[in-house]
Order: sequence, then structure tokens, then C-alpha cells
Amino acid sequence: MAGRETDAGPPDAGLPGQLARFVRAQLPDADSLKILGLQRRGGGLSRENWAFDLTVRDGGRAQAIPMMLRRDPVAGLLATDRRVEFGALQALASTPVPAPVAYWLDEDGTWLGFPSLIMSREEGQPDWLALNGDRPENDRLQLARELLDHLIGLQAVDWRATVLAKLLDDPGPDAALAAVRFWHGELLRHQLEPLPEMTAVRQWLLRHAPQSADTVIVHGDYKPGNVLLVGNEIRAVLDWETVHLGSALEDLGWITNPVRAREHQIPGRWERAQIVEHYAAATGRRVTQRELLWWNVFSCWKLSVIVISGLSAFVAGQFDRVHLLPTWLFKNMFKLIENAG
Amino acid sequence: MRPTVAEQIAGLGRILAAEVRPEVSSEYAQDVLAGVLQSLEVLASGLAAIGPFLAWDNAAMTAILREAGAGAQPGAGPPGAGRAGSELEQLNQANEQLRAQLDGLLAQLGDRPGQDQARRAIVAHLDERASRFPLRLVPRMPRRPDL
Repeated sequence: MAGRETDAGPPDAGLPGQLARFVRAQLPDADSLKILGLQRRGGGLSRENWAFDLTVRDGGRAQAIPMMLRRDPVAGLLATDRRVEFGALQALASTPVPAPVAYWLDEDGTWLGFPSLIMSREEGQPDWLALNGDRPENDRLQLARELLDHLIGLQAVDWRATVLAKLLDDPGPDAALAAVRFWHGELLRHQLEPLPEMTAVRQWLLRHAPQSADTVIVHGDYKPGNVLLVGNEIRAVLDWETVHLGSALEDLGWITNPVRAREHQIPGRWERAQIVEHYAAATGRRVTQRELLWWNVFSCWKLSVIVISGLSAFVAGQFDRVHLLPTWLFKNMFKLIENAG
Repeated sequence: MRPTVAEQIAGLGRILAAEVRPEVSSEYAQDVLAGVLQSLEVLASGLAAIGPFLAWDNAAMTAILREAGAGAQPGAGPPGAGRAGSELEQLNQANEQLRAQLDGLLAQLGDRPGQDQARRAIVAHLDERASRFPLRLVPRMPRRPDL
């Protein structure tokens, strides 16, 4: 039974009951189940995030488990697949990459109204500006290194031996072109008006796409804001909704994107050069500036598609966040391309 | 006309921030309200500049299209001419048509050799347009993202 109603309004009124029935179906042998404190969490830009505690009594023992429901919204920034996100969490369970535990999947929304997954709710808080916030500089530097080391650990996972090999396509050497194709498809689904800026940059991306040396797991939105911290300790990497297979330089291009420097870099101590040096030394991969710059431009272009998707959903009355044309990203892309010569 | 539209928007934002925000307890609703307030600020400060911006953009695109030999379509210029609706609506319609033509010109140029100058002229204009765009909104970072 649901513990209490949510404060999120009428469209979610049925969720406590739906959730109770779904969990009961997953744990048919438990003596009693209680779902307590179901509450929508703010901040999630693409998926609905609902926190709750599941109390299970089996025999004489009662156990309270903190959980998180991630559910597709009516519309959001991205159309992603909960099945893939669930598979990624399963794949990472036996690796050193800290990630929530995957519990149950409602693949087509039969139980919960929209495709959803339930995972463990880990301790800690995300902090988008952890690398440039109140912590002492040495703590921030240590944190920055650990963040990069976890990304390197993710890329070291033998994905071919996991469920992801069945769920995801390997784009091979054409990972860059495949990434442009995917996000162009998203753009076409959402754009409401002609966007010559996006066309001009896409043409440049297609003309200069690098070949990928090897295929790795790509998080797709790796950042301090998607990491749970307890003090200076990283407890979990979150938000695996855009996980895919691709170039090792894709996530590296995302975290060295000059537009996001405030999130990913520490002026004078942990800038692009230090990040690349640490990465190259740890992985043995050769990182050329030309390739990395391409992935920086791609990161801005992809982010533009995400913002434009949000704009479209807002206009359709299906999204609660206001987005406008991402002109600041357009400017940065043009500047990066000009610098590329 | 007072209050002007910009004054009304600014006033609504002030009321929401001072009177409504303190009463909102849901974390999700607080985040959404913060986004709404940010957008109202952008609207209030940029509203008056939209018309002049569109007029400038339309004139510049018309010139680029003519220079490239593509020529602006009759329906698109002079900016706003011959259309129904308010002056701002006309400018907006013309803008959308001209941007579609510019987009088409980019596709036409493609990778054709000898077209670098035309491509550069288009990108230079788009860059200038991004600088002048009157409704600049960088989405705020959520207080507790993706929990």
C-alpha cells in the first residue's frame, strides 16, 4: 500500500497504487510491503525521479530499502530507452564503477503508466559546481581526478561480456558519424523552425568526422551534477539514460567542452591540458587536439539539440521548463570551428 | 499604454517571487518556479528589442541571399511587406521564410569547392545574430539535479 499521496498534482494521483501493485508483483512471496514517502524530486531534466522507501517484511524481519523510480515523462528533453538504462546499471554492477543497483524494469509502462525503472537510492548529494565550489582547492583537485578515473574505469569495462552487447549497436570506427546521425534524427523530430545554425555546424561535423580507434561505453552526460557525493567521496554515478557505445573521446570531449569549463575544470590546476595528460597516461590512448576539438563542437551541437527538444516540448505544453534558442551555444560552436582553422 | 507589456511581465515576476515563491514547498515546484521567474526576466528585458532585431536580421539575410545569387523569395521582402497580422507577426513570418531560404542555401553549397566565401558570410551573419538575439536564456542548473 502507498504511504501517502504525492504533492505533484492530478496526473500522478494514480502512481502510489500503481507502484504498490508493481512492487508486489516483483516480490510475490514477501509477507508485507509498504511504500513510504513517495515524492517527486526536483531537478531531473529528462526523466521523472520519484524517491520512496520500500519496507519489506519477510518472516519476522522487516527491512527498509531506499529506492528511486525513474519514469518517462509525457514529453521531455530526450526520448531514451529505460531498457538500455536498466541494462547499463546491470552491466556496471560487477565493475568498480559506482552506480545504483538495478531492481526492476517496467519496460513498456504496463504497470506504471510510462516506461520506468526502479533502482537503489544511494546516499549523497550531487553538486554541479563541486569542482569550483566551497571545498579547499586540493580537495577539489582530488575530486576532479577521481571523477576522471571513474570515467576511465567505465571505458575499461568489457562491454562485450555484458548485456549491453545485446542492447546496443557498436558503431565501430564510424562512431562520430553515427553520433551526428542519431542527434540529427532527434533534431528533426523536435525542431519547430528553420535552424541554419544547426545545419552549418552539422555540415562541418560531417566534413571533419574523425575515425574511432576503439569502442567503449559512453555515459553521454558525465558531470559532477550526475554524481552523488558524501563529503568528498563519490558514492554513485547517476543518469545513465543516454548511455551508448561509441568513441572513447566522446565523454572526454564532453568534459573538456569549453562551454562547460565551470563544471569540469579548475582554473590553473585542472584544465584541458591536465585532463588530457591524465587521461592519456592512464589509458595509453593517443588524444589529438584535432579529434578532441571535433568532440567539443559535437558536445555543443548535441546540447543544442537537447535544448531545442525541451523548447519544442514546452511549446507543446508537455514540459515544465522554459527553453529558448541556445544562441550562447551557437556562438561557442562558431568560435570553436573558427579556431580549428 | 501603461503598464507596458514589459512592465506587466516584470510586475508578475516580482509578485511570483515575493508572494508565491515563499509558499511553495514542493522541491519540484520550486525548481519549476525558479525557471519561470528566469524566463519572465528575460522576456521583460528583451521584449522591446524583438521588432528591431527581426528587421535587422531580415535585411541582412535578404542581402546575403541576393549576394549568393539565391535571391530572397518575393514573399519574403521587403521584410514584413504584404502580410496579414501585426507588424511584429509580419516580421516574424518573413524571418522564418528567410531563415528557411538561408538553410536551403547552406544545403545547396554543401561541400562544393569555391564556396567558402559564401559559407563564411552566412556563418558570420549567424554568429552576429546570436550576439544580438534579444531573448538570451541559459538554463539554470537544477538545485538537485537528476536525483
